[in-house]
Amino acid sequence: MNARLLASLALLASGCVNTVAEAGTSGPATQSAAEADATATPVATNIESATMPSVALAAAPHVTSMHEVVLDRDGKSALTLDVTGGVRLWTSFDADAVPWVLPVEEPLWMSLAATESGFLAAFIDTTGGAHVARIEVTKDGARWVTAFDLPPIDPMFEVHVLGGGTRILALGVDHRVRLWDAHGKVLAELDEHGVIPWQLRVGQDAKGKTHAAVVQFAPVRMQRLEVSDDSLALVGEPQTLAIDQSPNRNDIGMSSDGRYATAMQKPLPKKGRFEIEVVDLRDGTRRMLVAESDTRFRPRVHPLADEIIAETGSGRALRLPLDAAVPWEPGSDRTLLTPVVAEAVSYDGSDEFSLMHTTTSGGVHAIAWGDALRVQSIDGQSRKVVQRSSLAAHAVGLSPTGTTVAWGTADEIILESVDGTGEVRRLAAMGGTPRLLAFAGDDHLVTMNDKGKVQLREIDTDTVLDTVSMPVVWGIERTGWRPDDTGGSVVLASSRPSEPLQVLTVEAGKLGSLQTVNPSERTAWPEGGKPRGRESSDWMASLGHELGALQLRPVEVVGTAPTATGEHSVVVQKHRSEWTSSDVHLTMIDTERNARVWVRKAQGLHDTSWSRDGQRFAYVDRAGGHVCDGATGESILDQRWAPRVSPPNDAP
Amino acid sequence: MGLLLVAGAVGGAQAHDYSASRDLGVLSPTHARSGAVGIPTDAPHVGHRGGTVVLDEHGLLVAERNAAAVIRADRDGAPVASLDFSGALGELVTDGGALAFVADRAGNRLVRLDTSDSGRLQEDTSVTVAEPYGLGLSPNGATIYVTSVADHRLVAIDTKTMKEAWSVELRAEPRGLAVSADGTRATVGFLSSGALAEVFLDTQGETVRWHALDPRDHVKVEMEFDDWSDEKVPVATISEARSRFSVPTDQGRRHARNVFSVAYVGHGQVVAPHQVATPQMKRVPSRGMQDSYGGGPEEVPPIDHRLAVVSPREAGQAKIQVSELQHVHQPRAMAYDAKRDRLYVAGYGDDDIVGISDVSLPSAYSAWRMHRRMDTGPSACGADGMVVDGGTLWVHCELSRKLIRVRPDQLKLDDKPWHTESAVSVGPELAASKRPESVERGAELFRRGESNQISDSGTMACASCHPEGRQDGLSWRLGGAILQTPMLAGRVGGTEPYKWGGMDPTLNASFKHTIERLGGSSLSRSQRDDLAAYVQWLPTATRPTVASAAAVKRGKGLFEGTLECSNCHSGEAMADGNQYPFDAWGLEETDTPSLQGLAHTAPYYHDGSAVDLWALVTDKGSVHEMADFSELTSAQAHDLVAYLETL
Repeated sequence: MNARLLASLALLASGCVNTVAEAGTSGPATQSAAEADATATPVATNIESATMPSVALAAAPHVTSMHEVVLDRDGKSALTLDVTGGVRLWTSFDADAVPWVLPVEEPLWMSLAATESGFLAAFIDTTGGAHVARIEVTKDGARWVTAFDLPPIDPMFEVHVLGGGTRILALGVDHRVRLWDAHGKVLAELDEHGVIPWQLRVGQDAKGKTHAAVVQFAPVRMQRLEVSDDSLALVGEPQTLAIDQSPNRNDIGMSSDGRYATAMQKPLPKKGRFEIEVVDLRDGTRRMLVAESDTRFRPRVHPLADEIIAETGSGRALRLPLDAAVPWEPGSDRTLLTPVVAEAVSYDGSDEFSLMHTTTSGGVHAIAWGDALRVQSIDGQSRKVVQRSSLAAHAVGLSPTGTTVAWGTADEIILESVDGTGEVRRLAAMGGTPRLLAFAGDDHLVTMNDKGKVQLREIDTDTVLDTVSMPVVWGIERTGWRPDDTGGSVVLASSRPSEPLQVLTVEAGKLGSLQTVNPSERTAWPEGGKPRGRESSDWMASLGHELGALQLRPVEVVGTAPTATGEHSVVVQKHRSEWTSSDVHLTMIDTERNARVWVRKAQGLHDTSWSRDGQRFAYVDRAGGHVCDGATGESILDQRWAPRVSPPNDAP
Repeated sequence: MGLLLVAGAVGGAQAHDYSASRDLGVLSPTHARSGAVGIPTDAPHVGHRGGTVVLDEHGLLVAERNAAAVIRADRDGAPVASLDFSGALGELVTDGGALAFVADRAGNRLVRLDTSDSGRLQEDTSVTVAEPYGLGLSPNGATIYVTSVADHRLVAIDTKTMKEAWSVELRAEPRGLAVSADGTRATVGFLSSGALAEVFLDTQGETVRWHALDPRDHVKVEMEFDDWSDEKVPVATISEARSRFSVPTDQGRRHARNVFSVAYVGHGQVVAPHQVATPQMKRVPSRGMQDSYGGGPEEVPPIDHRLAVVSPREAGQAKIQVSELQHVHQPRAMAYDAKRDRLYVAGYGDDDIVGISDVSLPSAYSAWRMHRRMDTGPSACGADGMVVDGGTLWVHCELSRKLIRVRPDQLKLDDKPWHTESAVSVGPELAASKRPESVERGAELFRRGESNQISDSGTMACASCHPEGRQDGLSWRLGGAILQTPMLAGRVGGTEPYKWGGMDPTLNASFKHTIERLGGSSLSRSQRDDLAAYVQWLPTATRPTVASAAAVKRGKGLFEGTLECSNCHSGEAMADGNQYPFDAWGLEETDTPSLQGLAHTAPYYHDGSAVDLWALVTDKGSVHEMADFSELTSAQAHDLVAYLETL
């Protein structure tokens, strides 16, 4: 085998697809569990047999773009992978579905099956180690329970959780095929001299029966693999497949009923014509399907039981019936074959970039691309889309006890319950870019936009009670809010360095008087931030803090956000010394003990807010909105996406 | 789709950064790194990990590997007492009081030392461990954990009785280990694997979790038009993995390697400095150089160095964040100042040291760096161990056998190299090396990073792929072929010609050829002679403990009899010096490789196509003409593997 092919094959091991096979009866290569045990193969499995570790799962969308999706056999649940390696489990594709966050990092492989009590999922990590877990989903939440792990000393190419989740079919880097039960017990093994599987194809027919085949290379050939409850057997003869590129998981396919192998060629890169050889895996009979794509892209091929779906990258897919395939003898002139006239179906989100990221199973087509998961019936008639828009908040406010957070965006004000009820309410926008959002008691909101217009709003009725414009010179440098027993005070620092701080009081349900703070008294209003040009250490010293004693890093302090009592304060510092960096550190300090308590990092910080009782702290940055425990800094709510409005109680 | 990784994102004075290379989503915030926001209070216990230099109540204890001695030194770095050993040493560990142990690597013993007398060192007792290396004590000091390089195991030993309590097989080339503050887990690093093993000690090793450090990102090279030359030039980028359905292209998977040491820091997190190799990026040869070592000509070097911060979860995979260590070549030595939550990491290849503050927090940053003008020759350091105590950091130099005392508070991040000298004092030589001078010179060349003489831009050192003269378990794209890194230790004496194709008749010629491939400006003949002296000095890898002598005997019978392996794998080195025309693409002929230390050199064949010896003897590699294994029964195949592991 040559090195180029070897390299291609090694790369191939990083992905896979489903397929299936019809049960055969004869074959030389069965190895039973007893035999497998007796051979005591030298590769340790190191299966964890102690009490299985488990962890409760949180529900949250991906934080970055999705780019891979794997469906269960019925197409009713899915695993998705984002570009930073995060993995989510989707148990529903309804528009308001929120997936479960799985404790998996950057898997090279994912597989999923629904079980009676939830799901069984399998992953391969970047060193080849396999991780198999039960995911129990109830109305109270979800839990990950480790089923078994395989160490990277026994690295895997593929792991397929078979339908029902009671069996797992795996292909090792050592080219052995193994069948495990759901607890990691090896039930059967295929380890034949001279048989070197590089890939598997696994799928199921309409009755739910599992079918499989092994793919070997040099030359490329496919052979049926019979999978029963506790045995594996190669069936029939390997059938050679002719492809015109390095072996890959798209061009080499198997029909979902396991009867046929498919091998696609696209001879002319700039033309739409492509040819799919259909090889009967039982008797080697060969037929050919030729079709014409409406693009020059290589089609994404989904071989089903009685048709082949060929996505073209234009948003359309050709439905090529297997009946239309014509008899074919290898070596015949392909150019003489006429393209079939095929029905086309549209798939939302399928384009030249996402083309090779789509999958089909259980009669549905799925694509997870960017921030949208789209699941559509094969005929394109039924469509479900889960898509979220980012929470583009520029201001944040916490209610006095931190149970409600207000996110201020250019389009609206969103009130969201922090305590898990999921209750969301929308208020009218404040006009312009929000710069301040604060609760004046439980019933009123104070807002300020980028022009300095301050409004006092009654929350219940979403009525603006009062409006005052604060003077803004050269723009707004910083805003702050100091709550008190009767309301609070809005603090505004203009961008012009010489401009004094402005303070506007809010009391008794109305906006009060506007005051100018004498520069010498500016430290009395730390909410206004550090005056531009002032040394960080001087500024902090004027507030009674010493950078060194607090073990704060020696970079610029942007400002401080004290609690209402002043016992604690969050110091905002730039992460880097470069002026271009927008990353900041939020360090909560205990002002009495002069000690750091917790540190968080934010990207492009817009605004911060303490609950009046000092129990919770919130901020908004480029990554969304965040509410954390004031004492520990641990996350209570991380909201990257705009929360959906709760339906009214009487909604159907 | 965006660029994902840290490469290229970290620059200037901020040598260290944490980029969002992995998912920062919400998950079990107590344990996920993104939620580990509180100032840590869970300092690791003294002795939770070993090293070549440790601190106790009397001063410093140093494992002088090249002098084969343990040295007692005072806090100024001057020698006070010495205890000789027969050969190479692994790590030392102490609980800070009366307990101290040393891994007598060459002597296959774990030795308990009597360190009660500040002016004397004495061996107390010992226990047999096959090639011990890494050490770590349980929090109460009752158990010491040892990595066995020869047996690929973690061994637990009762410190009172010095009897083995239990052991667990991990994988080849284990090195440093660390024990968690609560004593429930030990984490082990490896040279030839991208995974860390987290061993659950209360299950006596029955439960082992593996944490993958290999990045998922792939590397690809594209050709773009250059404005200057109006020609296409290669541009390397890092991108997320391609679709599993895409046609594979020549793109580089990246692999973490050379985890010499691990440590626990705050929040129960593990830090593991390592290198990331990109061995199979698309080959873009220049006209003058027809082959090269992996990597790429632009942003993606074949080797870079990183620090992983691993946050184990209650279940599932650990949360891992990585950062690039731009100014540290071959990071091995670490010291953790828990009070400041500051981690010091030193480069064995360039002697640079960085101090990373808030290392347990998401806000970690480079607070400090010591960049000295790298010494070469006899005064070179080769930092292999560090220990910190308040305001003082001691760095142990493997090559010069000296201790360097540093006052980190007198240094700042932006200090120029010459400013560092006032905060640094170098102690006297602690002991004389037992190696010949030419070997010492060769050892220094072998580890030398950042040297244009050896590689293009100094990216690679010999020791990058051959740590300790061994191998990284990777197959590299070299010219037209993909070739596995061979083990050097014990395999280069009298085994000419060299290279997988046998094209280099002498070691000197082989070095010249390799340095050409690396893009180095070349070494002088005398330097190459020194390198030759060093690699020929390297001790042969220790054979694993034999489990079944009968199986080995039967396997040997097959090897020398039916299978006729010994026709070519003959003599002491088990290589006949001949070449054979196997179907190995890119190689017209394949030189018979030495089989010394075979148990430690997976994967197998010139291209690494057989993942283990079982795959080799069941004919699942790329070479099928070497021997006819088809008639072997399963039992015979096991016997053959048992024998091969003893070579």
